[in-house]
Amino acid sequence: MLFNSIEFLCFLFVVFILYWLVFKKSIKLQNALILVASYVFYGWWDWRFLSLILLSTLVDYTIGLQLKNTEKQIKRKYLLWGSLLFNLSLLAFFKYYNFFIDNWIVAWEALGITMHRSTLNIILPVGISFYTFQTLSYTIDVYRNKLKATTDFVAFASFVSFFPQLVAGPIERASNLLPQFYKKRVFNYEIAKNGIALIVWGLFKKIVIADSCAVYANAIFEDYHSKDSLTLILGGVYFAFQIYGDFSGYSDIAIGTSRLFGFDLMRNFNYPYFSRDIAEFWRRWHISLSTWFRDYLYIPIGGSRGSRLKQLRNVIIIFVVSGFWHGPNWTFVIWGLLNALYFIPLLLQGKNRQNLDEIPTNRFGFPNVKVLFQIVSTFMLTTVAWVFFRSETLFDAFEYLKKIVLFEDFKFLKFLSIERYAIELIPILFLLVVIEWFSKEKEHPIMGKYVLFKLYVVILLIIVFGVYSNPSDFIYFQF
Amino acid sequence: MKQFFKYIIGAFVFVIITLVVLDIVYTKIYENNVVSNKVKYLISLKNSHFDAVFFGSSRVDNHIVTSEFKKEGFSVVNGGIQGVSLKDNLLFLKMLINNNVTFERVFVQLDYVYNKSELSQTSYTEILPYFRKPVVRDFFKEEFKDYNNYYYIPFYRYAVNDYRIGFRGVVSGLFSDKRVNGVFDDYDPLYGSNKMSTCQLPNKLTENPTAFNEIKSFCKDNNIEVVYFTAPFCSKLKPTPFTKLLADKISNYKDYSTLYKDDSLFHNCSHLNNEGAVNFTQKIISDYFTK
Repeated sequence: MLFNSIEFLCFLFVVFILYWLVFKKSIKLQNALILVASYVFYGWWDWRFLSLILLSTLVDYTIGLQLKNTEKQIKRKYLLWGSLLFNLSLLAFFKYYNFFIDNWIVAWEALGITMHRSTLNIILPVGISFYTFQTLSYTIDVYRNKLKATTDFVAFASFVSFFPQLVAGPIERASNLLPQFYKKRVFNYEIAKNGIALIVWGLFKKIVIADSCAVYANAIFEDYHSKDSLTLILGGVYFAFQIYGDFSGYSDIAIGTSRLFGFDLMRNFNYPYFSRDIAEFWRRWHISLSTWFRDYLYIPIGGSRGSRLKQLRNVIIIFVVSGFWHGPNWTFVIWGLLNALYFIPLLLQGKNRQNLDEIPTNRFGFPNVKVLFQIVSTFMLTTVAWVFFRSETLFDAFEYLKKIVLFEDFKFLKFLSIERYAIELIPILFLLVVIEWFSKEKEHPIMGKYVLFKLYVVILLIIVFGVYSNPSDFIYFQF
Repeated sequence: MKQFFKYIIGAFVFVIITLVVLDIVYTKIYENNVVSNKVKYLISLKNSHFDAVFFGSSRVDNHIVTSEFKKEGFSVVNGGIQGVSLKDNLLFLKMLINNNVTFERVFVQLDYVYNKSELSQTSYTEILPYFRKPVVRDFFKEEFKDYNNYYYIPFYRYAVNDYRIGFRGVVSGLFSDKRVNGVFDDYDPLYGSNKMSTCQLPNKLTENPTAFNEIKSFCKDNNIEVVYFTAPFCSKLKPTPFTKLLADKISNYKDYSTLYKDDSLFHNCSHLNNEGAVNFTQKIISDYFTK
């Protein structure tokens, strides 16, 4: 069930009515309803994979209870490793099995030894990377005594499968989301209204920005051999906006939907393309994943402590693992590595935490030349990295970038001959940038004064400029 | 909660009103803007009489030079549209009859389209602004699985076909005063001669040519005389029994597929250039329009 579908609208309406009008007097019934709704939501894609979520839930729930009942450190460690092994094995099998087999064979073949190829036709369960990390956060937090293990199975199962953020995040910490399942939820008109505004803004970013950019970006990346330099540059820019609109749009809809049910999820994007350096970008982009890796990987392996060499090692590890988390392809690994390379100079100069403040502007609200240069150059760096993220293979990515640098056949009009949204798309992207720039101090643009007016304008834009002929899945579903 | 429901209902009402208003605005713009394409041209024809109407794909659009007929004193409509199928031809034929356009004869170009029965997306999306006309609506009732969505949901037709008749189509319709082909005589010429590559017609006829049969029975019911023909191909046309099979099956059929050996008359193997088109038109005039 896609967020941008009529099915979801009907589903949301029914669940909302049952939740607030029928089950409002009992938290347990509300939690049970969320659980059933979440399983229906997930089963809509492929009901067979519900068994995986259930299994993952049962294992971590049981391990949580075991951790609660034991003081022995060695046993607790075994239990933690059991959870890690189980969850990561599931992920490794469904997501990375063929990748490892392929690369294993290629490595041996490079040494002249031919091996039997036995890859499996494995379907990737939607959202497995997200809910696996979510359950892991629970076990780790219980192990670290940061969270009490729950004895309420329904609440725990609802936390693991909470439908607004089940398939593409934000990846919630058990310490933030799970306690919300124990508390009585009271309907709050202002919060619900804000949730609706966030959903509408998310839909705008998905249906208008991401899906429009997808038409161009797909056409350019799939046939980059025949495109001139400017087209390829714009292809990169369009993909940068596509993935931003797609993923942050999903997150906004997820957070907005949660608010309708009285839940507060963590913020996942904070206007990342206005970042002044790559460190700031990673504090603003996919925040739930970055902080997950920071807390459960980077800090445990040493973080920014120790020698410079260790610090560099830790940075490279976290970025490469983050890239690999996205999928079994070297393009993601190199994407991660490239981001590490962007980050390392800042770390070495001790400037990785220099841009923690608000972005400075003049009295008219515009950035000064220096800040503008920083923002544009950071955007360009991330766009180069996105080329690796979007390309099918490393070869394609390098060829794509080579064709840009060589500046072959530089013709702007050739680009404009692409079938749809030839010139309309550029003003739309400009509009998005302007709207977001002047809203960057707020959570989302449909806030503050004239909310109703802004809401209706955005709805109008969605209807007029939305792409309905060729709606595409959310990109992060594949991860 | 009541307040929230009011808020949601307000937004919902706004969406409905927007859809209705946009549907009306888009439709009015499409109905009133200039004749900017062949579909619009065919729809604009009303209460008139012609000696003949030609239907087909680009192999009519690029081949039938209407000005040549005028010189001879005949009035002819070139109803050829790029990339369309026989099913689309049937729709336009029905629209002309509905608009009280009469004609002595209909010419229908047949090639591989004979074996196809589906609507082409090119023309049906462009005719969707006229969906509320009974003749179009009735036609699509049988064609669209989601007919009810088209019928009951305002703006649906523009939304799901946004890449052709959405915002971009409306804006370009508003600001365009360009007539198709410069001077609009409904013939779209091709110039020059490219390198000819081989062309091939199918080896056999489909057993159930639905669209062809529908055209045939519609013309019979309306007492319209039909002439079927196959327009010329270049010398690189691979021999197949296709046109022979058509000739065996259809009595009023003329095969022009191998009319020319001189490839300089062709723009590419399946399309004549302007010189070839004029020549071919004169051939048709001499075959069918001698007074």
